[in-house]
Amino acid sequence: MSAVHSAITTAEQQQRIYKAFDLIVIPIVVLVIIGANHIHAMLTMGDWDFWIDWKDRRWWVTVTPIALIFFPAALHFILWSNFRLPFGATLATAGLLIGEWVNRIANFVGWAYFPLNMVVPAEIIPMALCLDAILLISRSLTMTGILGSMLWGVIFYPANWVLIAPFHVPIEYNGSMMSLADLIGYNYVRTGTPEYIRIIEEGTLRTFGEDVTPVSAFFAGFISVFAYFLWIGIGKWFAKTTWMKRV
Amino acid sequence: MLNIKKTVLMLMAIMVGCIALYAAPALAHGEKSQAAYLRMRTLLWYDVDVSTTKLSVNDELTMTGKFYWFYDWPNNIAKPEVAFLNIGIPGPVFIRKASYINGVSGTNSTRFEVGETYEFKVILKARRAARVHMHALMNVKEAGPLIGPGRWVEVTGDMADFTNEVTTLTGETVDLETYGLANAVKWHIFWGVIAVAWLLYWIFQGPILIPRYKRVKMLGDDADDMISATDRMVGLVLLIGTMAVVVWSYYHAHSQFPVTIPLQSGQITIPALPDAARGVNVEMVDARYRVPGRALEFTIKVTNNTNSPIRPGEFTSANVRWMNPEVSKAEPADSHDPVASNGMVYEGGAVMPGQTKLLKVTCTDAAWETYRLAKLIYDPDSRFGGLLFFFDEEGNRSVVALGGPLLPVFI
Repeated sequence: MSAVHSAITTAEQQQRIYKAFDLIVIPIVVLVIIGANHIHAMLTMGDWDFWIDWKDRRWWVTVTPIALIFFPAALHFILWSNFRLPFGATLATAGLLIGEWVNRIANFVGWAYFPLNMVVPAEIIPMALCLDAILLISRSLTMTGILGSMLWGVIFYPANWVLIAPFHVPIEYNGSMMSLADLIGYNYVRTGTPEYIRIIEEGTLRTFGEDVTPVSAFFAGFISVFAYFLWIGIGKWFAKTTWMKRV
Repeated sequence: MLNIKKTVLMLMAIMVGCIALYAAPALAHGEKSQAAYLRMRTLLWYDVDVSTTKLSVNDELTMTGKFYWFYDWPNNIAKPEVAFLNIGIPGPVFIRKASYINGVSGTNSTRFEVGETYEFKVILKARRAARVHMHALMNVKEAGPLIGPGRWVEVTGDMADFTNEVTTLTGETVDLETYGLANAVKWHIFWGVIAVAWLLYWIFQGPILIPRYKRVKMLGDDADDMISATDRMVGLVLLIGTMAVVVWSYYHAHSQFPVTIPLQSGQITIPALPDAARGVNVEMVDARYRVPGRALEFTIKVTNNTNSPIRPGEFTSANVRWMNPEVSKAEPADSHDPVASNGMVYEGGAVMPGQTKLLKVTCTDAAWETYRLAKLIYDPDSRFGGLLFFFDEEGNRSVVALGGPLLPVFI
């Protein structure tokens, strides 16, 4: 007779254990994703997402999708290859937005007193929903990487235009024309963020004039494709199980 | 026996507790922490003043003054090819209504010439109650913030009363405190609800981690069969629905805001003020810093090309002022205004019109130590700089930049 007995003797007990496991692990995973993705976002796109007067037609459009596809790609691999769950991108972006909203309200408004409309984060959930949906429909990380990542970059600006368009209405101020976003940036003093730090439509692409946004959006999508596959690899590395031979 | 884990945890808890208890509100902007040579040989501010030091929310305050870009600019500091006139305050206690450099709007970043003088004016509107140490400030690209003199300013009132209304070129009057916020929050909530619904669609399919993991491993290459036709249909609806909302919202925003412009950014060059020396020339003969006496002593050859006798009345550097009260008087504006009211003496008498003579000037004060300027003698190049103000009998002022090697005297 064995000295070890399983505590699970019925299917109901097993189901209860599975549910308890979900209840314990999922919140922890969500919190880790919020924290890790938020740190990643602040370090890679930082000011572009913090301030309304940084959200230009070129750099913001290019930098944000590329920087933000990392976690969705890694989570796609982990959740799809191990669980066939296609919500990695939405989990990553929704988690990021929770972290960002907490940060903006607690830090930028609560501590530093910036107006909340100046620091509203970019909207990224539509991109994630498309990425997840393409994974679910195609059941292929490769197809998702090619089609979904391109779409991820391309729809970022149109999905956000409804948020930022009001801030691009022109105003005459002290003899200059500014957008309301520029004026907010000028009015609300940021000692450590001078005007020249903003990277607004810098570079030769500016010669394309107002057609610069689609070019930037497609470029962001193109690079996002490569970034997606790179981060699938990193997700694969993170998901591997390695047993120590000895402590 | 010592429990390593418990000991480490306890030490960490004590450390975190000490840091939390020690943390105090920042009351200044680290102006003394910048190296002495940087403060003495980059941007020299003078005549800085504020229109009031006590005001209510919605009241305006004007800060005025002048700054001189020192001619002997340190090699290791980026020159002011791109700079921005700013204000050093802890967050937007004020909003900046306007700023001017030599009368030109300072909304854009600006290129300045080393060796030239400019005047500035910043108009601020009080936004929230606070007592702050407010500094004039110049951000220089790749060099960082160059901090000017500070003043304690107290704002009273309720931030809820503050408004920042402007009228756009399309004729709409808006309050920038809240403009566009409700719309942005509405869209974030909308997409957030969709995201939550999408996540719950999967989470509510029962325990999802262990059972699905086991099935994936069991099915191997056929694991895709776990995705049902219904799931894929939901995915298709989600994709089409998301794209439809994105496209609709884009064109809806275009129809709501038909006139928009891209973010504006540019740089301007502003001509400098006329030479503030007004015909007074100074050559540095030698300069020494007397460590025991906390005194800077320098000998200069002064040529007076004006029509009146002149005498030195003030030396200023790194926002510290050494006054010669026989010629020019000044008192500290507040508890943190470093003015040595009797800090400067000189030997050599007045310099007559057309005359060239040697003057020995001594600037003494504890500020050399308290403002960490004495550290200059430990710099790799040990050079100092500052502005010497000469006054004629009618009170006309000539401002002359001077500087050079500084020798320490230890005994």
